[in-house]
Amino acid sequence: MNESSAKSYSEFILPPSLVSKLDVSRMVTEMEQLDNDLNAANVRAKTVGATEATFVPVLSETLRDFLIQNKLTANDSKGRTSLIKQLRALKDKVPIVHMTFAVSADIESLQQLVQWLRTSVHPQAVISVGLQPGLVAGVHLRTPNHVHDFSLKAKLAGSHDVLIKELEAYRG
Amino acid sequence: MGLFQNKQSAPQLPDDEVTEGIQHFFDGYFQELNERGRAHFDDIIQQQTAKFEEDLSGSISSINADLRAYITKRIDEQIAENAKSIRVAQAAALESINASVESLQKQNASFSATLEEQFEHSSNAIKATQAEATKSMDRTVQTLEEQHRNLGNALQKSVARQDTQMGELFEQNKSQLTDMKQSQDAALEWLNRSITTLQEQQEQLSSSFQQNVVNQQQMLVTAFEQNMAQIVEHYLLGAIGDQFDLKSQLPSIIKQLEANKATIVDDMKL
Repeated sequence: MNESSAKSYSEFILPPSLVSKLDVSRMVTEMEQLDNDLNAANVRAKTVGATEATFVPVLSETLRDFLIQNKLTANDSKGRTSLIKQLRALKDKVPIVHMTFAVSADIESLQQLVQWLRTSVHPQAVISVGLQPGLVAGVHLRTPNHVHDFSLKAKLAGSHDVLIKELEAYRG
Repeated sequence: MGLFQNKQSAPQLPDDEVTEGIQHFFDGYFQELNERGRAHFDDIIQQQTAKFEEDLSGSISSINADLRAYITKRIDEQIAENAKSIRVAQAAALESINASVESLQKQNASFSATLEEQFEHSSNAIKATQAEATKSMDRTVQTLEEQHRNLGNALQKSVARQDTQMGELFEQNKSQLTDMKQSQDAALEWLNRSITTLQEQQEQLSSSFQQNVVNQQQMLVTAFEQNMAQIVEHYLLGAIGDQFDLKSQLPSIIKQLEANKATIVDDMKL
C-alpha cells in the first residue's frame, strides 16, 4: 500500500473486467467491506492475541486485477482509507459512454469495446449498456455531447432515395 | 246344623287352636259340597238341554209342515182370485174397445162429410179463380203488345240518334288521330336527336373515364414505388433482426467507431 497514497484516481489503470460504472461501484463497496473486515480482524488480534495474518480475505476477480495492475496492496489501514477515497472519486468522475445495442451484449464483446475505448478515447472510459431491438443491428452511441447512430435502421432510413431510384431504374 | 249333631265334642284346647281347627274343617267340607253341587247341576243342565233340543227340532218340523200347507193354500186362493179379476178386466176392456170403435166410426163418417163439403167449396173457388186469372192474362197480353209496339218505336228512334252521334264521333276521332300521328312524328324526331346527343356524351365520358383510370393507375404505381422502399426496409428489418449477435457485429461496430474516433475523442475531452 505504499504507492496508493501517492496515486490519484486519474492515474488508475482499469482492468478489462471493469466494464461499466456499476462495476466501479461494486468495486468501491467491496473495498469498503474489505477495509472493515481487516480492521475488525486487527482489533480482534489485539484483544485475543492472534496475528493479522490469520485472516485471509477473499477478493473478486475485478478487485484483484485492479490491485495487481495498479501494483497496490491492502495491508495498511491508512492506505486502504486513501484508496477508498480515490475509488469514490473515480466512481464520480469516470467518463461514461452510453451504448445501445439491438441484441443483448455478452461480457466478452463488452470487454473488447471497453478496451478499444480505453486505448483510443480515454484510458478510464466505461460503458453504460442499453438494449433496443428496433435498431436491428449496429450500435447507438451517446457521448456527453453527441449522439452517433451506427445502427442498420439508421442506414436504411437514410437510403430511401437510393432504393426508390433503384426501383425506378428497374421499372425502366 | 244337623250335620254336626253327631260330631264328637272337640277336646279342650286353647280358644285360638279350637277356632282355627273348626275353621279348617268347615272350609274343606263346604268346598266338597260345592263341587258335588256343581257336578249335579251340570248333569241336570245337560239332560234338560238334550230334551229341549229334541222338543225344539220336533216343533220346527211341525211348524215347517204347517207353514208349507198354509202357503200352498194361500197361493191357490190368490191364483183363483187373480184369474177371476183377469176375466172381469178382459170383459171391461172388450166393452171399452167396442165403444171406441163405434166412436171412431162416427168420427170417420163426420170427417168424410166435412171433407166432401170442403172439396166442393174448393172446386168452386178454383173455378172462379181460373176464370179471373184467364181474364187477367188476356188483359196483360194486350198491355204487353202495346208496350212492345212502343218499345219498337223508341228503339228505332234511338238507333237513328246513335247512328248520327257515331258519325260525328268518327269524324272527331279521325282528326284527333291525325294530330296524334303528327305528334308521334315530332317525338320520334326528338328521340333520334337525343340518342345522337347521348351517344356523343357517352363517347366523351368513356374517354374521360379511360383518362381517369390511366391517371389512377399512374398514381397507384407511384405510391407503390414510394411505399415499396418502406416495405423492403420493413422486410429487411424483420428478416435480419434476430440473426446477428453482438460478436458478429463487433468488427463492424469497431470499424464505425474508428471512423468516428476523432469526434468521440473530442467530445470526451470536453
